[in-house]
Parts: sequence; structure tokens; C-alpha cells
Amino acid sequence: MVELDLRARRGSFHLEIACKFAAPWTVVFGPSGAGKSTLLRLIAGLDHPDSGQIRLNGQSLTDTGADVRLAPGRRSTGLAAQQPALFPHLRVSANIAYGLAALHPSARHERIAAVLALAGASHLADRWPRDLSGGEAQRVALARSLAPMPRLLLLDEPLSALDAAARDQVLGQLHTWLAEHKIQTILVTHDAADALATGAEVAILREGKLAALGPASNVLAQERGRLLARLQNHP
Amino acid sequence: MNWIDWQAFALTLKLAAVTTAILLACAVPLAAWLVLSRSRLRPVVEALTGLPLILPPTVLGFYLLVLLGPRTGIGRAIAQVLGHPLAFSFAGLVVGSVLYSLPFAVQPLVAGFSAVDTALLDAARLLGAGPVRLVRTLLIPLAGRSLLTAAILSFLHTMGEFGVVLMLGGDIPGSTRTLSIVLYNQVESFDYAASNRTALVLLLLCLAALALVYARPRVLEGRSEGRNG
Repeated sequence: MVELDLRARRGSFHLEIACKFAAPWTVVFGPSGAGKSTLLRLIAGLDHPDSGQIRLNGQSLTDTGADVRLAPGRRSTGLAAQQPALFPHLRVSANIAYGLAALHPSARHERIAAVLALAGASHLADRWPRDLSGGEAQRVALARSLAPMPRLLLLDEPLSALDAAARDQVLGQLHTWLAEHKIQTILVTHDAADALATGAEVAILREGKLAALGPASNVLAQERGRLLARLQNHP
Repeated sequence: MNWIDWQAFALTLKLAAVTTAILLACAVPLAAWLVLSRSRLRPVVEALTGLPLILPPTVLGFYLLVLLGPRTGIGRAIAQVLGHPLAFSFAGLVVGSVLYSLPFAVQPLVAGFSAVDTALLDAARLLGAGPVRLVRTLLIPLAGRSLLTAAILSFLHTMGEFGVVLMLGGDIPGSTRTLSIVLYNQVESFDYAASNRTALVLLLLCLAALALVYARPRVLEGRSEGRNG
């Protein structure tokens, strides 16, 4: 479970969120600039809030009051973002092995093969990042974020370069695998279809504030009603 | 008659090589700290590192001469350990050269390390990399070009230094007399034929090394990331 009580100001943008993401799979949905990516970076420890706390399964990751700021690599948190950020001087398999330094070589090879298969990228293991298409690079980045088996996986539109069918297929397999391994996931998207497809808990973020949180069907119906009301008021 | 002062020539190359090796060992962690750190001390350290760029070499040489001489505690302590004062010795020249050429090693590295995409550093941090691993596995491989530039600039700058050498090392053959000092002596004694030869050697060495900077292999450059589509 992820518990958040955060305040962060970035220029004129102000993020203020207090909530608990208890479901195994939560989709954070909202328009561009709502603060979705900022939220993930704060949870990952890549940015720090002005004040507040972040707890994962009861463990304090960030607590500005107690001066706790766990380093990103010690949070057991994986992040796959829209920009794959593959290490350009390492082949795909070495990219994925980067987070597996503590594993025995045989276990490392098994893990690399497993996560590449899950991302539908087994055939890319020996390629250089420069030889990958955008979609292939995103699959590899997803596999790399999964490889260390984090307790929490943060996905920031990680498959945006894939077509809808391929994306649904990967997300479907991923959903099952993450549930099997009890890895909690927060997926950020601006596509309502992603939220509906996974039947997840949905959080709606708007202008840095949490506008709704609950089961996908309820929250999206509520959102649909809100949009219809807006249309009626502004013909 | 020697075509040039081979002893001074060898000493100059030795000084430049030792200084460059020490500089790279110090400059890589220093440049990485300047790029990765969020410390409030960073601007101060950056200013101190860049100071030799604008400080007259004779001023730096003078302060080092005073600091390393027998009138200070540091100078006396070093003399006790080495058995001789650091000033007017090859070791003293190395200390002076390292400080004098520090910005020529640090600044190309800072520029190279800063050019590494922060998204890559974030990804590595999330995968458990600490500062040392970031430097070893990302910054150095992706900024190899700047490492070569730093090495060559440090080498060349040390070879051509004059003020610091004269103030701190004097003119002791085989110990502190470098080619720049030899050239100065030759001009002072109106030996223009010898001056021309010494100057030509320094000129050709610098030109060859600079050509190496511009002809560096592309393989040292960071590879660009995948194509779109």
C-alpha cells in the first residue's frame, strides 16, 4: 500500500495530494500538466516534496518532518517512463542486467530472459539501443524496470509508442505477472481506455489535486457525468 | 652540440605526464561531484577550481613557494618527510603544475559529464547505482571524449607553463629546468638559432596533441539513443 501526504511547488504549479493507493493496480488518470509524472518522480525519490510523507507498505520512503529521504535505489521501486532512457553504450541484455548486480550470473540470465519474454522483447537481447524502434525501446525499458522485482512499479505511459493492440497485449500479460508476484503498480495515463481495460482502481488528478479515487467504473462514470454537464453548460 | 636540450625535453615530458596522470585521478571525482552534487558549496569549489585560469601564474607560484617553503608548518612537515623542501624540486613542480592546470582537466570533464542525459542517471539511480557506479558505468563511458580532451589539454598546458615553474622550481638542470625555461635562457643570451629549435619543438608537440583532440575517434563519443517509430 502506498500512503501519500505531499505538497510540492514547481514554479506556479502546486501539487497537493493526501491519499492511499491500496489496490494492487492503480491507474492515475488526468489531463496533461495535472501533475501525474511529478507524482511518480516524488514516489520514486527522483524529486523531493517541499513537505510531507510517502510510505510503502508501512515503510517511510520520504518524511520531510523526520528528514527521511531514502535514495531511489533503496526504495524497491521501478519506474518505466515514456522516454525509455536506455543506456546507449550497453546492449539490451546489459541494460537489463544493470539492476541485477547482486544476483548470481545464472539467476541473472534467467531473470533477463523472463522479463524480456514478458515484454515481448526476447529477440532484442543482443541489440544495441540505437538499433531499436521507439516501441521496442519502450518494451526493453519496461523489462529493465521489472528485472530487480521491485515492491512497487511506477509506469508513466510506458508503452505510448506501441499501437493499441500491442499495448493491450503487453499490459494484459504484465497485469497477470505483477499480480502473481505481488508487485503493486501505479500506471499513469491520459487515456481512459487504459483505465477501463485493466479494470483497476482509478485516481483522477486535476491541477495537482486528487479529484477522485475509487473503482474504475465508478470514477469514470462520475467523470463522464462531469464532462456531459460541462458540455450542457457551455454549448 | 645538442640540437635541443634533451635533458630539459625529457624532464618536460615527464612533468607533463606525471601531472596529467595525477590530474585525471583528481579531476574525474571532482568534476563528477560538481555535476551530481546539490551542495551549497558547489559554486565555491567551482570558483576555486577555475581560479588558475585568471590568476597570474607568478602569483600562484609565489604563494606555493611561501606555503611549501621552510617558513610554514606545512613546508617544514613536508621537508621532514621528504628529506628536502618541496620548493626547488621536481615534486614541488608537480604540485604547482597540478594546481595550475586543474581547470584544464576539470572543465572539459564537467562539460562532458553535464551533457549526459539526466534521464539515464535517474534510470541508473533507480536501479541501485550510487555515485561511484554512476561515474564508472555511465559518466566515464559516455563522456570518454571529454576525458581525452582533459588529458591532452592538461598535458599541453603543463608543457608550456613558465611562471609557476620559474617561481617554484627555479632553474636547476635535470630537476626543474623545463623547455620553457631553456627557451627563456636562450633568448636572454641572444642564441636565436637554439631558441628557434626549442620553440619549434614546443610548437610541433602542441600542434600534434591538438590535432589528436580534433581527430579523436567517434567511438569515444556517447552513442545516440534509438530511432523513433
